[in-house]
Amino acid sequence: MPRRMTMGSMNTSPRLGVGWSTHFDRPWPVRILYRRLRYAYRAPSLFAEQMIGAGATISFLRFDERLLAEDLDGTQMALADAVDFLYLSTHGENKSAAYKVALHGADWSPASSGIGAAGPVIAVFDTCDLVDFSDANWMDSWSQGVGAALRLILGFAGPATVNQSASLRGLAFAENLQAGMPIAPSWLSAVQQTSLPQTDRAVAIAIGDDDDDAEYILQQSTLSNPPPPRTADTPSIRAEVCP
Amino acid sequence: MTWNELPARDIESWVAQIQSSRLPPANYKLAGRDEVLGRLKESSQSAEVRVRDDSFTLERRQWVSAESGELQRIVSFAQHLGKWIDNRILKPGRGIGRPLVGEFPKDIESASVSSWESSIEDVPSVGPGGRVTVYVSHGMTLADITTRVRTESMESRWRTPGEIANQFERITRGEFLETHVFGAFGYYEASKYERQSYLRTAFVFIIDRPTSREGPSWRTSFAVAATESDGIPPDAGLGSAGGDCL
Repeated sequence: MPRRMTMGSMNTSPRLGVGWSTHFDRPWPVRILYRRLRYAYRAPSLFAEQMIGAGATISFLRFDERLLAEDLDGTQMALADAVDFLYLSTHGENKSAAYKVALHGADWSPASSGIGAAGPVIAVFDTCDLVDFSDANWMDSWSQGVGAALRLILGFAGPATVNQSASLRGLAFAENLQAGMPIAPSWLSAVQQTSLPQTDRAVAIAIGDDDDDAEYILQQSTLSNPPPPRTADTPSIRAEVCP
Repeated sequence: MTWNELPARDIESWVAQIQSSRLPPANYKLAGRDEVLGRLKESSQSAEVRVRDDSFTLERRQWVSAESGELQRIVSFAQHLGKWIDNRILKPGRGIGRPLVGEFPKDIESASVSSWESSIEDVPSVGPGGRVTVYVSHGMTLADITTRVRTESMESRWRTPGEIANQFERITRGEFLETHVFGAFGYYEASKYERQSYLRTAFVFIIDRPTSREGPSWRTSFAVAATESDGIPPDAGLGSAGGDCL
């Protein structure tokens, strides 16, 4: 039976870390493949505004040349350790079951840099290709690399539309959370609510102590009932998509 | 509705083909808040939905017990209201085998979502709105009814295929390196997070760079007005989808 989660600290005032990358500094000729994401700022900004209006606090807000891989991977700082919610919007790549986030100057591989040592509890990677389900080993990096605090990873299985209209998913996600909808369904429905029909596929990945725990996180964890840090050494991974 | 893969350098032929197959569909003025409330008063179930302040679309959030039968009642209610509020035809949305997303393994769970897409005089809705969707998650249901209420019909004229192709090229600026272009025609209806004053037909385009050996994939989309009507601005009704997306 799924066990009841104890209350975390997040229910009083969730701490947010938000960031985005709109343009990318890469050597030629690869640079031409990193298309500018003019509207990448919108989804995290809309999310943050709506959440702050309901009592959340901002721990960091960084973008473009000020959002550095070394401030996220622990080389200089571990900014994400100090937040409950991390929301990043930029390009994402998934090759050989390894997901990386393209920041302005360099890529960041969240799983291999041990994201979740102390935070975040929930990470939203508003990018393409968080998961490639055609790779049978898709869950390996998330089951091996991440810290005990990280319990829910939200993103896309495939492309993620970036434009003004689709970026309203940041607002939709926050609004669903505040209405009491569980966290994973809040994300899955937010993407559905703001996407063109039959296009973007949202995904939620739960990291549990065992299968029941992961299932509980996926279905029932809410803003007021967030999951506490994982205790088992070997995590169990469950995923859900919007059909 | 169906997405068609298009040759990026010959949008004009696809537009001409659609236009030659039918007369230009009417455009419509959409109801304001008071008109939506007035329409709802004609329904005995008006108290069960909320009219959103931002878009004047309808929604209902409710906690239900899976055993109570209440869930099926909410689904039927939303479907009925989505049809009735604007005299639309609703068809089940295509949930599986979507052409623009990959399949997912059978052991991956799928969220509980019921969705219907609307159409007007055989022209489908093509935006994030124009549909009825019921999300169910562990006792909470959220019914979104984004079939907006039309109040006034306006005659329209097709824009020429050349005009539409030129606008497509102005927006994309020829950015077609390793990309695919998909298109659909229909009434563009925005999500429930956007206000919309007019409902008009549009050509909606998706530019997709799929996963490749080098560099990230990306996707963007935009809508281009299919017709023009006297008295309404050329992009009215397309909301944030009508702007320059690249």
